[in-house]
Amino acid sequence: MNARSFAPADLSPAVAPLGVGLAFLIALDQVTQLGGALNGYDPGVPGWRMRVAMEYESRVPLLLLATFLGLFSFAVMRPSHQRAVRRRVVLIPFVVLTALSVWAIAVISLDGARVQWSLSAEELPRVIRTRIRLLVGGLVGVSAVLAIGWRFLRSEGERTETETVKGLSV
Amino acid sequence: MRPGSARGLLSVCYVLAALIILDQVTDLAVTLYPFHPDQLSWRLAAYGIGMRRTTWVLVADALVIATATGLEQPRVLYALSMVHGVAAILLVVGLGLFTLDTVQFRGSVRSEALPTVYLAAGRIGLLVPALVGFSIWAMVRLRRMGGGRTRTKRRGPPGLVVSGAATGEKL
Repeated sequence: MNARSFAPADLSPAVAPLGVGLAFLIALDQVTQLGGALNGYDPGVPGWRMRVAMEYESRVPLLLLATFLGLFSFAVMRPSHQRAVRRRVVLIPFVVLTALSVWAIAVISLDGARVQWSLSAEELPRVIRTRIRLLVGGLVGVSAVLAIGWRFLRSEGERTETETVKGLSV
Repeated sequence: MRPGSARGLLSVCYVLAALIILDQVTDLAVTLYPFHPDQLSWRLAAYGIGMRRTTWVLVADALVIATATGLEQPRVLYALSMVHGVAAILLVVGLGLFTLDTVQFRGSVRSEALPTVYLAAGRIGLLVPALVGFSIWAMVRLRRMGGGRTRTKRRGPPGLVVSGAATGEKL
């Protein structure tokens, strides 16, 4: 670190690994909590699938936050990393989150509809309300994941172009 | 935006982090009330419920570190390194006590409930060492960032240090 100044620009690369570490710990905490919901593993039972899908959906915002923190810190830490590696790092978490969110929406729609037929008239409004809330939440989650992922990919592309231009001009 | 107002806006993050911690602590206290630290099952439940709030504490931690960096406050970074050191010690002690309690509790649980106990204990056994490792790492890193400047300032005439650091020449 420069002895003369304590500018954030100097400090950011030094702090960035801590950001990656914090993002990893948040993701670990959320994933292990989700693992607790898998207790009584029986993917053939609609009730089990619904429970896991609901648990997953409630964790999407925090998983997204961890992904954002991790990727942002990674970008600060390695500004001159190779394009392919950086794009892969950006893509993987968003592809996983999108796939899981789509699965959760499918489970809540299809399994929820199947469970609905066996319910009494008194229970039906409560279940339909819950399903609507989960579906809206799931769709908002998928949109957020796609929007942030797309923005990150674009910024990575722009950064690489700038670096290429700089390299050519040198 | 003027630099002064940006700094003011950034310092709001300290308040946000304090609110997150306050919310989590009060919620935990209400959940665990009435307190029975002498009871084995209460201690286990307290540890398990407390560890479920890890994410929010980490979010507050990230906010404070980012804000102290943005506001160029080496003393805060140094204080944060101390906080991480204390957290690491508390986590290690807590994990030791939790392990002893779990071993003792295992004997009094029905066999059907054992997988749930193992699952919860496994989660804590995985998460706490990772948290301890991170706390120690953060302590060292933040201490270097927060304390490094103070030491360099006291060392001698700044011109001599700067000339070498700025130009990259070997003295």
